Amino acid sequence: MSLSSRSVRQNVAGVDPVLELRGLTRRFGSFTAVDKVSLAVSDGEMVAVLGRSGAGKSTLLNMINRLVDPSEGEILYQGRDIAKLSGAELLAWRRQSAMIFQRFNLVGRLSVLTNVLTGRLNHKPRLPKLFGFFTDMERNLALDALAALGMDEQALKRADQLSGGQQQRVAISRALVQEPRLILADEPVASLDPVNAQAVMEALRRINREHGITVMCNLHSVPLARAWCDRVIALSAGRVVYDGSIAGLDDAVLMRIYGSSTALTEAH
Amino acid sequence: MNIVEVAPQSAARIHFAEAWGRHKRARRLQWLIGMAILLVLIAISAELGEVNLGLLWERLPRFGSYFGRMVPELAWATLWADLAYWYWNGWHWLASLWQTILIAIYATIFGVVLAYVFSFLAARNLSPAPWISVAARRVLEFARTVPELVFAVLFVFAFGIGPLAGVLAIGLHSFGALGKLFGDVAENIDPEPLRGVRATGASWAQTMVYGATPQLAPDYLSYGLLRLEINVRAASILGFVGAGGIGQDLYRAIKNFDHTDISAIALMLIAAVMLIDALCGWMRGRVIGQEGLRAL
Repeated sequence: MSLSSRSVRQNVAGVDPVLELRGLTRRFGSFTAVDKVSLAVSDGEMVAVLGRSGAGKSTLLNMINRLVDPSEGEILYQGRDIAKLSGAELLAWRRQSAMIFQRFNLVGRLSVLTNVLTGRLNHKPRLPKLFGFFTDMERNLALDALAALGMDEQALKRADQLSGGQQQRVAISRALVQEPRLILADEPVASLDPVNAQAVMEALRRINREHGITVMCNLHSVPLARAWCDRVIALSAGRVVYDGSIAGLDDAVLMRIYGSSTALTEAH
Repeated sequence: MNIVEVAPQSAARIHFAEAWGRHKRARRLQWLIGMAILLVLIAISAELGEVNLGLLWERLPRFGSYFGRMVPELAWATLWADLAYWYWNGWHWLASLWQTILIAIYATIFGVVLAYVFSFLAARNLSPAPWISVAARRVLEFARTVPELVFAVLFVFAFGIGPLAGVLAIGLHSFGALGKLFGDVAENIDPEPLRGVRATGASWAQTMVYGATPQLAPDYLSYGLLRLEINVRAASILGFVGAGGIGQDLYRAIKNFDHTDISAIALMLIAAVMLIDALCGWMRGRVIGQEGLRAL
């Protein structure tokens, strides 16, 4: 098994939804971070989630992976309610919905290769992995994933010796070896310089196109969303204020999201 | 220009000076009452504890003469023969000392392994459920509150005289002490890498191994080595209740009034403890030193 031998699927937006959120809500005490969000995502789409800091973007993505439990509502994936999963089924879902974080969330003292191999922890056999044993097939898979992102030379270095851009590419490799159906990227480029930001967005787009993996990506940058995504979902105070094509993202919509339009289009 | 001189006798300052005076008088009174209570308590506890300074002074020479009797007769002309006579049972004592060190090493490994597992249960940020954290902490408290000697007496009764009882007694106490320290350290780790591992679908145990352990390994190693130092000292005493090692020889020498044997064994023991301390200190320095350099 290798990553490149997978079937190449066409990225066609607008076919029947594979992921559907219904009235999804998350409250922290009296504060409502995500407020009755309903939306549908089709298989193979690349969706940008926009909104100001605190608009609920991170909470939304974390709820889909179930790192954060919803207070109310449904998360349907192929008709199955993800919000109700528990135990082994929940862990299997987390494997299928890979997360990418703003701060990369690698384990600094482990090697790059071991960090990528943690993406295989939910694949059988599981017990040997508790004692550090992975199969040769998995090591090869991890190396292929690193090579696909130009990081194979760094495989045996400690993860905390890498630059931010390199660490994020390792994190994407980790997501790839999970063999996910969905990639949830939470501000993947917010800690990176513009060149690395473009490289990471390009990698996500390539994964989306070549493997047909659905990508939901929280972004702060409107130009990045315009350059790399098919569709935009915008949140404000936990509610969806825009859900549509990139082309429809005009000044009036930006005003609704950010309360200002000029500062955003000129940045970057 | 000088702001201080703008209002030399403002109402606020006069008011404050009065308040400050009252405050100082109240503090002085508190201090006097506190000292009086302390002195009374010291007097009461001296009376109850039968502390008698006169007796201490009177009997102090006896203490010195005991040490005097422990000094072996060494003459320069017959030094080697005298030393050989002093350490007449040296090889046996060396073997016992080695057993003591092995008891300490096995007990430390036993304690570290158990404490490693329990630290993740006890740490409030890592525990699978709050009640598990509370339960784990109670177990650790029990293990470290009971002194090693008490555990040793129980285990000698159960498993017979010998080093096994010593290993279990010191190991159990180490488990309690280390589990508490490990658990407290684990509560301060960076949660982000843990989220990264958790999000891949890793189980709780896998998350502890791949997300938490790499962050904690240097601290755990450092505390483990410190515990080894402590355990060598503890193991040298446990022989008194029959739990193996050099303590059994020391106890026999004291019981039989073999005064030069006591000094011979004690000197070996002190040398061994100093050696182990230096070795552990050096190893801990290496572990911490590397981490410290990296941070700078």
